Amino acid sequence: MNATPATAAPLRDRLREALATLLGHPLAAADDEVSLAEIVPERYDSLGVLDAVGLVEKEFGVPVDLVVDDLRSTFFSVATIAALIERKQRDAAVLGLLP
Amino acid sequence: MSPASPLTLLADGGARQGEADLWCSYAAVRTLHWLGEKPARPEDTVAFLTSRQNADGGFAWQRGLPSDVWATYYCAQALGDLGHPLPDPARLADWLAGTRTADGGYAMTPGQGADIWAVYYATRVHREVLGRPVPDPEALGGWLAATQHPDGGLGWSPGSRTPDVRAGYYGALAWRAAAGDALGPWDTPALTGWLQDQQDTGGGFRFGPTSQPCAWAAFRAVRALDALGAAPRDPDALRRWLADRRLPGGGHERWAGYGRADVWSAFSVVGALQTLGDPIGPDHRAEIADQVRGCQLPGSGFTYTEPGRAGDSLATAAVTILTALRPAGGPGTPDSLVRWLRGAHLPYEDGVMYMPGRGAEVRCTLWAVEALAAVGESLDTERLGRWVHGLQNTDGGFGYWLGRGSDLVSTVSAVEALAAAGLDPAGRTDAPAVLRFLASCRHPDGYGQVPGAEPTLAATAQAARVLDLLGEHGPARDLGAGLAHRAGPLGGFGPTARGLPDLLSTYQAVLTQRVLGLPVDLDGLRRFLAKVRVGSGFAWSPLSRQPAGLLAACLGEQLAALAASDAAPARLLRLNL
Repeated sequence: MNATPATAAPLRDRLREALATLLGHPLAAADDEVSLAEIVPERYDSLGVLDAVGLVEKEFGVPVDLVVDDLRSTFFSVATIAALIERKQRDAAVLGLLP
Repeated sequence: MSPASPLTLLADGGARQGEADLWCSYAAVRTLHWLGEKPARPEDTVAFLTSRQNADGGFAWQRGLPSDVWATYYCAQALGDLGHPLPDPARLADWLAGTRTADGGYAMTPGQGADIWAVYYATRVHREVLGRPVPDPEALGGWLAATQHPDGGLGWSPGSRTPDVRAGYYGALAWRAAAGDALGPWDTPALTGWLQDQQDTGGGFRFGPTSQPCAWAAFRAVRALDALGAAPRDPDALRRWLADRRLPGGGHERWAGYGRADVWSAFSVVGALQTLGDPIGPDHRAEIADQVRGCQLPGSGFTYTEPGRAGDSLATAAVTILTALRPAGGPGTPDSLVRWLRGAHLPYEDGVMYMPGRGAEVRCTLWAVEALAAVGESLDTERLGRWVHGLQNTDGGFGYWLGRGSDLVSTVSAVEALAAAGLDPAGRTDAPAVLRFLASCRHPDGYGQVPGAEPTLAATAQAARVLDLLGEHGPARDLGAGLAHRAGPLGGFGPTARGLPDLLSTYQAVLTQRVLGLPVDLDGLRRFLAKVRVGSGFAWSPLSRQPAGLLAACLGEQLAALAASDAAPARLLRLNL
């Protein structure tokens, strides 16, 4: 995985907390790079991924495309989801789409 | 296509869906087979037919729909005519066994009531496709015997109101598939006499005493009589009537004065002549084969006439609705669309057919009524009311077309077509019987398409609207209010709990919420629509990157208009598929 920019920490903290609530399981920062399916196998199945997509869209205001965004890699861990959100927020800012 | 897209209409003034049609493809392949010919591109037709097979071994009218016996027979028989082996016959046989009903008949899909169409298709699949005997012919004979009316003709199911030549044909051929030449379970002389009586003074045959002669009735009558060991009373008059249907430009018309050739007229005329034992000369054969081959779509199966003028009522209604969504001051709705839809209300049946010359179908009728209403037009509502009234089955529900077994989407479409046309559904149907049928589809978690089927969100949403239209406002509202809890995390609605959302389910849920005055999660709707919008069209599923055509565009654009209109929410049309 790519190194995470320092400025991303608050976003990642928010995301980790929201995912922990969604999955009903505490998530530690030390496990950000670990597969969520490994941490919470009983909740993070294909339907759990869709729940996480919905959470990201609602909490962070970024649209996720189920095909183009390749959920298997982008929704792999807290770190990869955070990276996707950052990229989409950057793109939106460049395109003037942020509120 | 979006409302802003340039409009391209067919030469007949209507629009058509991109895909070939199954019934046209079967009729074309069968006709060519009878003539000793093949399609110009048989491999394309094989690919079209095999793509309809589901994992259960049965086939569906369109990809993605559940298997039914009607589609299964047509696909399997056409594949056989093309010399292509049937994929997975053992699985098909297992699925077919599930369509047998406790009363001895067969249903179109597991869980439905039996009807004579399904009995015919199922017995022929057993005998001719699978090469197996029809199980328990005695029970089948009992069911078939109960379809006979006192005047001798057969009806669609035991207790149905009207005998019909088609029902006579389906019954006679089903019995032959099940029992060979054994004496039929009816009063055979009375049945034969009733069928012969449907030949009118001009030589042609009609479906029943009050209808007009047509080629379809002629073929069904002559083939039914043949299966019963009989013949028309005046075969030469029938030969003259059939010869008069031949058009100067090639092909045949369905009935006197129709003036257009199509696949079904070729099928019916060739089938009738073949049964009469009349050879078709080489020139005549080549002319019919050319006409039929000209109906094939590139890379696919067939439509009913030349593809450039083969409009269908669903696509034409969809385009009409899309034009109505255009901003005020823009181009209006072309008159040809309204003319096409009004012309689809053909004189010999009082509902609207899917394609001209075919039997009327209830979902197409609903789409036509709503599309015309969207542009301030209407059909002849009295004829429409009469047709819907006659469509109701003895179990209280409605099927896709006359005589076909009941299902929930057809029942909802019938009731909503009445309401959309300004008629009172409670006054035009046996409303308590409709509610009884609805109750038979109920499940602890919602409603299924047919009794015993698993519930789906679309069926549940549709059931709520019918309850409301028939005065059960409290239960309707309770059911409708529960829909909000079924919204998925991606913003739309899926067919089952936690299923991936799709456009069809989402439209049904939001339509019900709007009709019942319940709140709609517009933010969620916008998130979902962003996932299914593809270019200027819409996909049925967020997993597809291909626009799904005019029907998806019609539903998607209405939802998009609603999602964009917090201040003055747009009305969603009552449209079912």
